[in-house]
Amino acid sequence: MTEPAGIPDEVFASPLLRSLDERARRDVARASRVLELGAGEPAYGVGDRADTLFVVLRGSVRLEAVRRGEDRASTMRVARRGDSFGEEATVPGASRLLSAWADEPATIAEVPVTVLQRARVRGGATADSVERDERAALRAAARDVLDSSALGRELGRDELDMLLDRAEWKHHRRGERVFSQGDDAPFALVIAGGLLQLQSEHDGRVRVCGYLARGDVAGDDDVLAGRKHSLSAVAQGDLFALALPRAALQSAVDRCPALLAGLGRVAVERGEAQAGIVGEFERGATQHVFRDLYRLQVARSLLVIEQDSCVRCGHCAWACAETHGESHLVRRGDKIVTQLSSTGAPASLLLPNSCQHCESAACMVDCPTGAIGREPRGEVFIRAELCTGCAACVRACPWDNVQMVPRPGAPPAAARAETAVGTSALVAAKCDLCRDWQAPACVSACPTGSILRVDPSRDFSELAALFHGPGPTAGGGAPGRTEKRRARALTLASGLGLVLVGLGLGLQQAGVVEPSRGVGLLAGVVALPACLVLAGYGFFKRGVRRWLPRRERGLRATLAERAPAPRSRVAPQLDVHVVLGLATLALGALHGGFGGRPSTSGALGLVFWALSLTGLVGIAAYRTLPRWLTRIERRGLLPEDFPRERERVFDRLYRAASGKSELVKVLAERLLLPYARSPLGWLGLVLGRRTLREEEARLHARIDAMLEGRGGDQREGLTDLVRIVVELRALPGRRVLTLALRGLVPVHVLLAGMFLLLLLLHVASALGGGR
Amino acid sequence: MKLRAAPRTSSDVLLGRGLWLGAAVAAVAAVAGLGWALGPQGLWGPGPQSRPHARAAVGCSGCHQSGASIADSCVSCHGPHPSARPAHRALAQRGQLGCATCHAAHTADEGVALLTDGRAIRYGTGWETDTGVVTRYVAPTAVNVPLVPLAACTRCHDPSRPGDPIAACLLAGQEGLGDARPTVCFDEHRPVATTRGDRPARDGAWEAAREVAATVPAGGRGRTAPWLVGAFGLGLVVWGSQRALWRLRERRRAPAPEPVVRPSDVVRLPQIDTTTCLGCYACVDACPYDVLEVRRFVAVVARPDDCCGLTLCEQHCPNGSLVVREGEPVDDRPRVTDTLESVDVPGLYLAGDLTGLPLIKNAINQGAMAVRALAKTLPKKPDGSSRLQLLIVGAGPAGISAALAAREQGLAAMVLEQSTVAASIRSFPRGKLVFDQPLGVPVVGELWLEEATKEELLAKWLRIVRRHELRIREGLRVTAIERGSGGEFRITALDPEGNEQRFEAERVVLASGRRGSPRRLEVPVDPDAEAQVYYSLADARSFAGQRVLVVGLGDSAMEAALALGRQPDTRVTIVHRGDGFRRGKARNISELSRAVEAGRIELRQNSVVRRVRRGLVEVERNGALDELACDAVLVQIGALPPWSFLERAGVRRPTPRSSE
Repeated sequence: MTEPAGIPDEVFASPLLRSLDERARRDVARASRVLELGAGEPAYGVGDRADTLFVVLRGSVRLEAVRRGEDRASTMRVARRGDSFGEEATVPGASRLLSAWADEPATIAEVPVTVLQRARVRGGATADSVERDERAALRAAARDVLDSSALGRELGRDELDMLLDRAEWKHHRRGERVFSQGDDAPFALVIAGGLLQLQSEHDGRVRVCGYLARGDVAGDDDVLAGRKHSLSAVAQGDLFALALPRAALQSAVDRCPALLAGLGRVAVERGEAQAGIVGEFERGATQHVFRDLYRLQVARSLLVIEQDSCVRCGHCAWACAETHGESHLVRRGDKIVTQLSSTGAPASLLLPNSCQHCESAACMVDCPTGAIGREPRGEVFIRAELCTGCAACVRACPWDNVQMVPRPGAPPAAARAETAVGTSALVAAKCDLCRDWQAPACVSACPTGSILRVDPSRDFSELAALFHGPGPTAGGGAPGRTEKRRARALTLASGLGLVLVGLGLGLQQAGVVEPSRGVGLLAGVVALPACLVLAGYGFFKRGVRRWLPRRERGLRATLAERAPAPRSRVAPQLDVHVVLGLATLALGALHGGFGGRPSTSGALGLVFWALSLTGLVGIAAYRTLPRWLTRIERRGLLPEDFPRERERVFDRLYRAASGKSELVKVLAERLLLPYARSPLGWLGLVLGRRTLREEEARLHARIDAMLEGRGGDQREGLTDLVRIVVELRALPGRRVLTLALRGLVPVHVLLAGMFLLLLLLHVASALGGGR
Repeated sequence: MKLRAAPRTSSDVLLGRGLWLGAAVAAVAAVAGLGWALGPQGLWGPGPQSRPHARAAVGCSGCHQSGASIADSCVSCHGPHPSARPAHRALAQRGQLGCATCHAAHTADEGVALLTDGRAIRYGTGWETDTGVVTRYVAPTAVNVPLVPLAACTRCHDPSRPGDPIAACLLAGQEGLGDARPTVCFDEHRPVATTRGDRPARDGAWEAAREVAATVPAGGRGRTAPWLVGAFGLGLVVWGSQRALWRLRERRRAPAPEPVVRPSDVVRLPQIDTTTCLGCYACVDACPYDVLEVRRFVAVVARPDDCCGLTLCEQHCPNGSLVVREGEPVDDRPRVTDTLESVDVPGLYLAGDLTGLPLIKNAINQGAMAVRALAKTLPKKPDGSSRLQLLIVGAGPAGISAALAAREQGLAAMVLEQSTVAASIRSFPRGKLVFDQPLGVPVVGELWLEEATKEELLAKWLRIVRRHELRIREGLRVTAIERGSGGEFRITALDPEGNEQRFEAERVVLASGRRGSPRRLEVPVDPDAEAQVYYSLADARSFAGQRVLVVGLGDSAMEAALALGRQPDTRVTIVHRGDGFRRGKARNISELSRAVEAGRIELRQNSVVRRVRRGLVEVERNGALDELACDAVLVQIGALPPWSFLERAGVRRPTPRSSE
């Protein structure tokens, strides 16, 4: 592919571009480029991001697709000189429906659609011509949508055109209800982009029945049968679809009776495949993944934190703030339980507020100045110098992963000139996967290696099965085994270390060893450098800005392949720190015993033991508490969130209790509220090693025993209440455990500071006095 | 949006802030503390000296001489006085028992110093305390009596073994001290005493030392620990204060935006330059009332009727494409100052719907703001005065919020409510969602829930009223508010039995809302059809199975129609004067559009109700008259300010500015 400069005026003869005025043509020409394709060379493939449309200048381009329900590609059309193709890009956030490749050597012009659309509106073109052009583009896109869907297979040219005349574009935002169970069914939907969740609803309980994506048809059976909708449909992401009215669909079916059977077969096949996967996981503990499937479907690099090993130290957010000035990662958010393809084991994962680098990034589409770009490897990033601070991306991101931060290097707001483009006090900022560095800082700085960057549709077993069909999971079990080996080695080292500590202490106390001579002195001398290395751990990890290796600028663009998954740099150092710490503890015990004499060395001994104690407690806490904490939390929270969370849950409790039957209210007052408020209730929950779900079951059993089968019809709302009170009871436990995990490090560091200075004095006096 | 714009640095980022400094301070404090506790000698050497050695300024070289053993050094000052006990002496001769075995100079050198004035000082290594014991024996010259701690003896002796002689040297009642128990057999070195010939004096000193050792326990060991703990605590404080400082700075850097409290006096509308508009949604997000929309990449004023005249959109526009222009003055709102005080009646404050600013959230803000402002103007409450400082009329969102603010300011306040607490909320359709404020206008007070149904909000407010014990008197309808000569207000109210009650207050907040005066349907209604015209919807379920005509297309009308449409077999028709949606929340509009599309609700636009008859309504559309059969007519075309009541309180209608 080569790129000659300049855009020939010929491009603007295309029907889609004809109405542009002089200014708009200039804008479009500046953003477009001309490509030369050799015979058989592709312009794009199915599923590629669609944000540009093409005009053929020379040669011809063949457009192909595998229709739903078929297994071979069929030619949709051939674009010749003057024709345009790739109009599906006019649908925001779309991906390519067809693949395009040059039949013979071809010259094509590539026009970015957002630039075209904006130029068209801004320019002097009349409203009519703008609308006409847009309709033409959308109609072309609609044709591709219909043609590549299950409908296209059965329908002839004429029928397709007839349907096209009656079709209408529909856009639904994320979370919007597209139709409801029991509504009239005036039209069927052919989905062009986004994800549609089909669900049935009974008494306010939602049961997911399936997911429809690009090329699927929704509601066709009900429309054709003239029934009311039998299912509800909710848009999971921004949904773009073609609505086909009943009459049009009916006449198409009348003319091609095969259509009905074809549609039915596709729906049944899809339904069966999905029911298998969703149903199977729903029975297990992993249904959480399907709560926001769209998020996981579009995410290309989702940051997840393994809760069973995460020690809640916050080094990730801190390292992010160190490298970027503001942290783009806030460690709070939803939790999912899923199976990782790499290990095959179920894992509790936190999805914190951090950009997930969506395949069709909503922020990118909505940015008015094109300040949001994407690297060839998929990192979505913001160019601060182009950002106007309008916060359109903040609004667009469904997961609040873009924040407004003070513009780097900007003068204070008061001194700023009146609003001019590019000088807003705030700019949008979000995770760019540390694209200037070789690996993300958060991953590199995690002391336990709990942060992973994953592509959910590949790395989560059930999603891989849902999107790519069941099959052997990639990767094998290697990382899991190493992880286990590492844990076992650490446990062994800890045990051995403690035995050595006991031995050293025994020898010292028995008076066999003395600090100032022989083995005792040797132990002290050896422990000295060990202490310095131990302290070095703290210094090293704090200097993330210095040691995080930068990526060479030129290299970035050429790296099309996926780099190996980044690993934590600090985690192995923590392992060394732990092992060395235990060894030093043994040496220290041998050298100085318990200490405590009124002297510098006595004081050093006291601090040494306090420091070691926090270290030992820390090892134990890091091994056990995360698991305990994970068991009793539903969402990830920061310590400062707890007071508000308590208030929030109490509000929810009162809401859940209001308007319920007398029985439920009495139960709430007599049993559930005292249960939730019990001051030490959390302790039982933590020590009992029960998950929230098990605790709910216990509470239900207690209620059942109390009621002895009475009040069957008055129990509505009880399940909700039980859920909430269990959460309330667990809340103080989460607070205490979080505090325990996070409080240890500062105590350890403060003691280490004292220890180091005292050690210096001790060494100085030992060298100087020689006694 | 504004709130999101200033992210609070999370505790993750702050956790390590100041930790280095804290550690450094703790380390320095620890060394300084040790220097204080041990003295420079102890700091550099193996430990501090006890009182006699320190007083004699023995120094390091006094004992530690090169080439000489420690024992020789002791003898050089104290003279040779070997042990009187044969076993000890034998051990000493074998080199297994030296002076330092019992008198460890830096660690366990304890004793009692008897002064010439009869005071006794108990000392140890690095510490001494005046015991306060006045001994019967007064030494002619100051003497030191060394006490050997049991720890020195237990290498060989075991006090718990029956028959071990050491048991005789210990004082009863000091078992708790363990190894620190002093031994009080002072006859170890008897020969020395006899050679000097001061036997009686020696016996007296021993007796006195025994007395002191019995009453004052030893306390010398580990005196460094408190200093270390203190230093550690100091480090913690430094670390904590660093983080607190950061939080404080952060709060200063990002001041909370002022909540909206006062509507503008003139009609204002945003104007958008389409050639420069970025289509960035900044204005759409900034607008609290969903006035603006982006269509074809350019912002447009979609619902001008809802514009409140605030300039938030203008402030948020990144490139000045949007300017708010002023138009006609508004003439149906009572005039208020920036602090919501009536321009006509000083001391009378208005809050809530009365001021012309809609939304519950604003009412809450206004109630609190008005009370905070008026609290500053109130004179200090004279003691014993029983007069109310503040009387609040109406217990809706603004009234409750005002009462809460009054409690916070410590004012003597009372609320008069003609029906019940939050009656306006009670009259909402059942299950109505109350919320939807895209802009992060900070809400003053604690009344707000992020998103709640009517029932939830009501329950929360009743809880708050109970918890704060707000003085709310229900069932009292205010009929007159007069201003007394001293600036005080005299309020007359009627109770349900029709009895007059009088109140006096220094300030009055009117928060009675507009609910009392809905805009009426100005068409002929047949007398027998009057019962089927409703102006509020309490519970949509009561209309189940009926044909209901809803007049109006504002938020209330749309919400009512939607609630009615959800009832089984209820047929809902909306009659609306204009075409298309001119006002209302985007959420309501989209939901209603879907309901219309799905055939659940019929929407008749460009239609005007001409007459209501029994079971029928005459509706005119484009000149043609239709008769619609219906069982009930729900009129939701807004409310009027209750001018008659306001005028009785002295508030005058503003005259249009052009005639001034």
